Amino acid sequence: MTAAQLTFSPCDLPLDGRLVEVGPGRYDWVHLHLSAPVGEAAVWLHYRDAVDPEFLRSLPGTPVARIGVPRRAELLAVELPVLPGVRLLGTALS
Amino acid sequence: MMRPLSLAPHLNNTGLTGEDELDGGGFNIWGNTFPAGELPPAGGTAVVGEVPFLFPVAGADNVRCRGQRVDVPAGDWDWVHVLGAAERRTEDLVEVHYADGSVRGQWLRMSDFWPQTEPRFGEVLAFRCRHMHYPRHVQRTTSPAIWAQRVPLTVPSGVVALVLPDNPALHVFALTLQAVG
Repeated sequence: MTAAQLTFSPCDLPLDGRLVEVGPGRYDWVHLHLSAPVGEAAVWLHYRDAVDPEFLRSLPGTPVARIGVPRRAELLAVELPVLPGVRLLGTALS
Repeated sequence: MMRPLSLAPHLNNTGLTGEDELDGGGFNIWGNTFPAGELPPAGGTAVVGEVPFLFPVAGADNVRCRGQRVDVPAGDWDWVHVLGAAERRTEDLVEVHYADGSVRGQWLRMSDFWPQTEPRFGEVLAFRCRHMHYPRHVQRTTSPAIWAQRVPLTVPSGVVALVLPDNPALHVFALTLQAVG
């Protein structure tokens, strides 16, 4: 699924290391609409039984980042990086 | 769309043996191997969770990871599906190389082949054998596993190669790309 096909649930949150809950479920991707492009940062995926680091990167030339969810397990939340001045404007799950 | 990759140029370890050639391989330092007769035919396609993998031909049948560079055909790729197993569980970075010269890391996590437990990293159990081969006997109380893991490509366009970790505990039997969409 491309970013243009996604429907983002709007929000407005700072990237300050906070935990953003998602509807518990199995997903392939967490898509983030950010206020500015991000080159690379670490996020932590919180599953029901595990927590893994993954990479957050914007698609080149866009403020949309996507985070892969490798585990076939229930995802509960995403722990955002600390990036002063960058805000989370929307999320989408696929 | 799925695109299995050939690992033929990189196969450097024999992890599958028949009962008539128990000492013909060595997945680990003790010479343990998977029983080939309990796994898909050599050179065939094995489908695991809707992902087709090119099961290796007989002989050297897996890649013990030492930083091998695997070329990637042109396309927009979402996932790298990995059929593999580890000597003890391990996690390491795959380098994803792009046409513009940039390199991005992605985590590859693989559970142990030996203990008869659930996967440590949320993989799909691809194959659970009923026996383990030792160089001089068949151990009928040990059931080694091969796992199907997946590695996301956060930037899907312009990938030209994957460089496997320099981590000999990690073994890869097959790789398959999944296209965006």
